[in-house]
Amino acid sequence: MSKREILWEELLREELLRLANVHLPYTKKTLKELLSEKYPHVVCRDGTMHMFRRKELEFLKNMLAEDEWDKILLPIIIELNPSYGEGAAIVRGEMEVKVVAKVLGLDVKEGTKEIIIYRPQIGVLREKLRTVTQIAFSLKSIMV
Amino acid sequence: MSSAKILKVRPTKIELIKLKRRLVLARRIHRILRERLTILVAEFLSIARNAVKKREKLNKHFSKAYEALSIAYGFHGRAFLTKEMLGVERDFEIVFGTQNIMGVKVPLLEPVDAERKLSERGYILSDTSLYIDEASRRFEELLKLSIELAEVEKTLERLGIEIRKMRRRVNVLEHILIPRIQATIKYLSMKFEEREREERARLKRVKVLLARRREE
Repeated sequence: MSKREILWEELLREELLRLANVHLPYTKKTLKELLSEKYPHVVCRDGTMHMFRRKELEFLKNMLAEDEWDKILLPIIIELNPSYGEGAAIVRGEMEVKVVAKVLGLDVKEGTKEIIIYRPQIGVLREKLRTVTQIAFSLKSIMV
Repeated sequence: MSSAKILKVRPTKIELIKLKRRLVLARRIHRILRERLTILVAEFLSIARNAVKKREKLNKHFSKAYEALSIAYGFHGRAFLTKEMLGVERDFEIVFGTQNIMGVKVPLLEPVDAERKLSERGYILSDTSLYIDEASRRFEELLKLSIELAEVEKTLERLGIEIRKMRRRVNVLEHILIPRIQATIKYLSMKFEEREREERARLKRVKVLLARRREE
């Protein structure tokens, strides 16, 4: 295979990765930042604006202590990961796990940094927090 | 698979390697698109359930709001109510934004002050009755619900269009592209095997001929 073809293949893979996760934001924002904005939003990789519903932000504000508002980064990414099985997803981050566990009524230890959730739970989570969560494909699901 | 058409390619080993690579990539894309489709369908169903609930709620509110308005008309009279209504017109603010659901841009509508306090409604409270207050409250609720329903129904429409597109792509990959690549790979492999067999037979034949010549 020529160098050009290898490069072409790599480009296709990159494109695949980009296309699969275009709806993810360039940078996440903390809850504190978003609460202070008049129109809370983030910019996605495809250049579109993703706005947060104020009601959902207020819900998170009431759920977390004031010193935790600048520790949680939004939107919360629900990462579909094939290595945990079909339909399984992982949520990373201490605060993010705390929020997800509270919404789903799961019992997790303090300081847990990762949680695995399954398709029905993703449905419940998305129904309650549609704008503050985003589903993403993990790198593995694209490259494997 | 056997009925799948074969791609027009040169019967070379390089082409076979390229096809195998293309098959891997096509399968990968297929899996991602299928996953995306599953998520979009789940989102669609969840929003559709929500839309049905909202539509039912809106219909109930409509009848209640008009019932309250009729009572207010009956109590105060048409002329009085029309006169009071003239002073209550206002600008209504809605925040219009977009949200991104798996790459689909859908609207997000948030009414800023749909429901007002009694003192902010604009009519003279001492001249009016509770019936007008009730009718106003119900119509404000109706307005808020209508905006929510508009957002949900537009979201459903956009998701529906994307699901249709996605399904077509998944079907093309699943039923046309992947089987064609597989069939071509099979055809090329068989052709190479056949060529190898021919080559072996030819060599054997040459060997026999050479042996016969040597004997002569």
